[in-house]
Amino acid sequence: MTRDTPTSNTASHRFGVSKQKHLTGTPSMKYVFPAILAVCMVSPDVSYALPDNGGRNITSSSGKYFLIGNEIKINGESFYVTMEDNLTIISHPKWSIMGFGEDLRIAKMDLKESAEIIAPDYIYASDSDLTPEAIGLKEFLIKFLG
Amino acid sequence: MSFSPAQIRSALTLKGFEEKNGSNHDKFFYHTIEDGKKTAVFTILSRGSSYKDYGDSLLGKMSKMLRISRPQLNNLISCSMNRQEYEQELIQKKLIYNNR
Repeated sequence: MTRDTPTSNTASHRFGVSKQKHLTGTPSMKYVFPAILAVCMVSPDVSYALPDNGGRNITSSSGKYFLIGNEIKINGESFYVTMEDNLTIISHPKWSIMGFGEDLRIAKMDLKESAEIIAPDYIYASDSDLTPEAIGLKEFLIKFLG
Repeated sequence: MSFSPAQIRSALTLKGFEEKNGSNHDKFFYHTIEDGKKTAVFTILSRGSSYKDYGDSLLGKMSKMLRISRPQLNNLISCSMNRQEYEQELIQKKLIYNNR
């Protein structure tokens, strides 16, 4: 399969669903979106590399956050980044932990706040009292809040 | 449509959610019917005078956390969706018992 390379690093290429909306109506671009590995600045304290589509490793100064297309990787765990009614939402495919905010930075802060609120309820729970998905969340919380 | 925190609290605890009270938040964790294990499905209610009623915005966020649609959340709180039906939703979405 041929993959096109994004031609610019405009905001519409970099951020979540707004980008999808832009691309949806452009036939020549609509196959580009899944291949975009645009990793960019989403927080003043974290820097991001902008890799090509060749699957090169992506690094950040903190090693914690990566934005890849409409996904953000946090401590190696994939979260979706979507937008709804001007609200940026970070969500996980299996867990209820979410972040909401006016932009990705605020949503990320909200996610961390939620993590801190629920952390004791998972971290101090015995694995035998948790479902496999909850054990995964527990392990993530330990790494994330480290 | 809006609900009071008391309505939400009562409905969630009836539907298999364990309530944990924090300093500024009440947390509700879903436990499975079969073995009572805590799942990764939960929601958080904020306390305070600005949360007298939960309107569209907060209920929208809550429905996302509970992994059901807004109409389904209305049904869950108003008790027309029972615990078995809710758990079936979670199973269908592979949010629990995913390893079966």
